[in-house]
Amino acid sequence: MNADLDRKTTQLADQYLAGRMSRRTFVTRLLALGLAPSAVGAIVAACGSSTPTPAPTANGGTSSNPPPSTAAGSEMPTAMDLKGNVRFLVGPWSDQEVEHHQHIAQGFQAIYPNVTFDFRLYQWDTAAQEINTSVQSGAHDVYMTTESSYPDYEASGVFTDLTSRINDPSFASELSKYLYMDRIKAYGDKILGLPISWHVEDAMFVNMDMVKAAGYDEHFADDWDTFLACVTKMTKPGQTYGFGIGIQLGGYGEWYQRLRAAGGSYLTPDLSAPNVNLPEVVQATQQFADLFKQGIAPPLGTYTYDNAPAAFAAGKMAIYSSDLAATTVLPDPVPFTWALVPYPPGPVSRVNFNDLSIYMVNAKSADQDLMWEVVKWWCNGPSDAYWADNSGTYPARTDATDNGYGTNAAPQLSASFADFQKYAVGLEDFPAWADVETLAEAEIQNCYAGKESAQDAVSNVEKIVTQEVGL
Amino acid sequence: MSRMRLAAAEHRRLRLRARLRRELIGWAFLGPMFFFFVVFLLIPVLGTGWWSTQFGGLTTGTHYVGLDNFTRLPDVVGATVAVQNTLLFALMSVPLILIGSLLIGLLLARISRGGATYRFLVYFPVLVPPVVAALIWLFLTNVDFGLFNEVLRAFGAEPVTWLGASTALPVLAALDVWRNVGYWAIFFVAAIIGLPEELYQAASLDGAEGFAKLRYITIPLLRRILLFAIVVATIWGLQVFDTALVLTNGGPGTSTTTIVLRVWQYVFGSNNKVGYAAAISLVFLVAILILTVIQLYALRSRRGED
Repeated sequence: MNADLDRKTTQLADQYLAGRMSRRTFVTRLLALGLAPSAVGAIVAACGSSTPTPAPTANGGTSSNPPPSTAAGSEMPTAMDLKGNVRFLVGPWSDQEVEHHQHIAQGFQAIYPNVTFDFRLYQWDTAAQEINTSVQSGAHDVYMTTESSYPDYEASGVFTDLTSRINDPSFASELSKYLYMDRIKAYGDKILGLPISWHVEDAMFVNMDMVKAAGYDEHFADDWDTFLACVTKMTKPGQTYGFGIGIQLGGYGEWYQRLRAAGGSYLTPDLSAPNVNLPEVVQATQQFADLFKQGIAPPLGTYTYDNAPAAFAAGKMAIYSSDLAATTVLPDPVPFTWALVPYPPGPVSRVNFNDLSIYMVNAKSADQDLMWEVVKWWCNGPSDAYWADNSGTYPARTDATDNGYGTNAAPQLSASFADFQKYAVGLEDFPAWADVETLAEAEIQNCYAGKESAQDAVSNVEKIVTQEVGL
Repeated sequence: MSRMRLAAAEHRRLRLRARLRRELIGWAFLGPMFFFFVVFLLIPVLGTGWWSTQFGGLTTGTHYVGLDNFTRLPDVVGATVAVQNTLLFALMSVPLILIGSLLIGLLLARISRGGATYRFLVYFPVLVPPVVAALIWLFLTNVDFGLFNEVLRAFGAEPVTWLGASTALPVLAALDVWRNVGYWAIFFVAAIIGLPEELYQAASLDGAEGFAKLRYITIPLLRRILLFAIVVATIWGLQVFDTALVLTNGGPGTSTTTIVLRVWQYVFGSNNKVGYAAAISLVFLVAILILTVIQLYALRSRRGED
């Protein structure tokens, strides 16, 4: 341990022993210093973690008894209070997903040694099915869910309503650090979880060397005509496709953001009627279909979600569309300068679709207090920063950079954050949004494949909306 | 030697007892089959019938909607495509499987030494689980480094997007042929080996050549097993699901979305479409039953020619 680290650790320990800092804050700050969870555990133990430590209460005083575990605030129950096994079902954001969660768990176990964890991964293309089945059967306790299914979960009531815990005044200061709680709260009366990441689903991974060689700069995607000219020039038959689209799993969000960029949406703002079949939407769809006709986009089926990053790195595609998690699987180093860029403008505006990942608790889990402590831990500053930093996504907290975000993540992520935030558009608040999205993207791909016209595809999407929503 | 005669009543009692014992033993053997039949077939079918009258999902609760799920089916976007894809798949794969397996069976039946090795090699793809088979074909069909395109490049041809919108369904059918041809080939080998040799000897004496023997002896004698193979292979073909899920997930677009894949998407990919899925399943079940009856009728009606 170097002298600076030693000094900082000693200062923190002094504050903790003097009762000026809760155990949670103590552990969190030790982890933020870069100490390994095992070392943190040893320090906490050396500071007498098994003896009750005065913890600050909501009104700023101290209490010799930590708040009861039912309290929703940031105070922590004592180590002896919490015990049990917590079963996670999470998405595979990176190849080391389980290891990342085990790392976060070690920090938790430094404080609560009687709590154990199991981590199980679902697959992205069957995520909804696996989560639904699992939560119904009570197979897991804590779920990493996606915002696309939030309206469905809100309607089904299978996840614990965390509203009272999250709105508890003692959690207020922590709550203020979450970037997108307003989006979660907007879905309805119940708050089902805490956000952990904000994820751009369809970004452009751009080979900037090719863009420059074609005579363009970083503004190549600022308007459609320039973008089209650029990707056309970068296309070299038999060698390089200018723009790879239709590769994202199920096309998730890809056409949807073109729909929004054309001034459309699945439903009107009052959710009373479809808002798909507009001339601008047909135009935006035709623009993409033309990319396939002209050989700028690789035919559908040429590349898959799994092999596209390698194809991009090998120069087979000058630009390709994927979610940001692909940043974790790109070959290292990529043999050219690359950047992340939002999609070019549509006929009406420039937007980029994104959604949140949210931790929720199974309503069937017996020990809801334990689950709440676990969710809070997984969504606290250091945990969120650590996980997002290793998962190719943006953390959902304002204090992420202070807690180490950006250490491992590709620098292109932070470089493009402001742009993605500027053009961000989320999903619409109605159950079955995810069902509509799945069916709509497949229908539009039929148009990209030349099996139907843009007008027919858009009309069919409108029918899908009507049928799935039950209008 | 004196003969012991039983009284009529005693005779009836013993006969009844023997019959009862025989019945009990019979039911004891049949019992497990009936148990599993009820648990894994009858109850699920009845359950599907119940679900088909409901609107809702596995996690969201349901309510009764009568026959609405059935009447709305024709209007569902993509329903026609799923039916077309399924029929096209069966039309491509089933004839190829049966013709291919019959030819392989004829060849294998002629091999006198090392036949077991060849039979194993032919049967090997059957042992590969469908998901693994699909993953193998995912590599074979890779545009940049897959075996198929490597062969094309070796002959100076352009690489093909094997899993593209117009080629993915034929590739799925080819995978199905690769997986199933060995299964039926072994059936046909067993049947051909068991055919009476004297018929062929008599035909040779009458001057019949190879094709004439196949046309007038082998095929007619294999008619029953051919009938069985056609019916079962058709049913399996119509039920294609796992390889479509792994290899293409129904895409690109909806080009490989089959009926069962659509059912699966409705049950597990949606929160409130279990009723639709159940209705599609029942309609599909009835369609397969009708098709099977037609096949049986069409093929059995020719038995008089045998």
